Amino acid sequence: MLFPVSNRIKVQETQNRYRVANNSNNKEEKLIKRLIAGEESAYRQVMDKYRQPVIRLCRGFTGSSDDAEDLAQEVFLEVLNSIEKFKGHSSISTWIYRIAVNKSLNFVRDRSKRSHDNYTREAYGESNDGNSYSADKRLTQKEHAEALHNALDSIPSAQRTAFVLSKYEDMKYYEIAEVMKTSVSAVESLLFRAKKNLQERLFEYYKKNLE
Amino acid sequence: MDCSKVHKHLIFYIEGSLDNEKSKSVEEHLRLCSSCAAFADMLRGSLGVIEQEKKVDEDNDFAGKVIALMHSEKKSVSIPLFSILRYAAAAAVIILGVFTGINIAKVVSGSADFSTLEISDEEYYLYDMYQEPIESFFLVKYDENE
Repeated sequence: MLFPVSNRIKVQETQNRYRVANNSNNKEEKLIKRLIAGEESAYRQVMDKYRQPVIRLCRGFTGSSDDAEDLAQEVFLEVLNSIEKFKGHSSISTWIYRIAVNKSLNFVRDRSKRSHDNYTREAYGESNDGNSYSADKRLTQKEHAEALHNALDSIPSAQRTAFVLSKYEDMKYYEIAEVMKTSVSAVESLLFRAKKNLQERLFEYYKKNLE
Repeated sequence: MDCSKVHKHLIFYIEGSLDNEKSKSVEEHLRLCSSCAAFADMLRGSLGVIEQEKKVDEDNDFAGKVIALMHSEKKSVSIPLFSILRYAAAAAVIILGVFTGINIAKVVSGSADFSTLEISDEEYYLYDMYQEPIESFFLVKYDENE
């Protein structure tokens, strides 16, 4: 007996999706083999594909395009040097994102340890002199960026990671959950708290600087 | 909706994830409250930075730079000749020490076989054990006393 048309379409769709997933898995396996073999064309292929997302992600954490570029270089160096350790439990993109998140968090942690006072003064320096926006009570693009990144730096790292992955990479909840090795509901909660905290910090900043 | 409630919902209102009813209430409040409206503008401005920062510059041979860095790191990691010689010398000393130890142990435990040892004439006269072995001398004395 034949299945109804709608069911047959569903089955076909599933098969197609499975075929696509299989093809991409095969492609990824081949790419990983080429990376392990040290093929330069494979190195370039990976970097061409993931350079932009990785720089974007690092920019979200650091707030600086130069630091993001340097960090991205470190990320790919680690990816290429430790490709043999990649066990294939996740997709290569998830693995690359994890390395990028760890490197970025370490960088931000070191930076705040190194020169927290200087960094804060630098970030708010222009705002405190009262010349830049007191007249029309508007912030410049640079000041907005500083406010945002100072607020981001002040929220817990898990919330920050979820926020950056969501906003800078436009990742879906399940994708963030994969990168962060957590559940979708945990990601939802992290994002909710991240936004709340961020809003509070920004409000404090505006209040302090505009009164 | 009062100011404090609006502040709680503002970020969700700006990103468009608030339900219709709440969204309308916030909108209405913002129309009437200038300070909340100013805050909403600034929040919008700060969150708008994200869209700007998402734009990544063109590739200035990024891959080439990383590959060059990787090769230079590998070179610096490769062990220089001096280190190799140092390791070889250390290994030789250890091996020599082990062999010396084994030979000393053989002599001390008496397991060394000297029967095949050939002694030259010069050595014979220099080595007085052959002329008057101590063990036999004591043995003779001991026998005589008995």
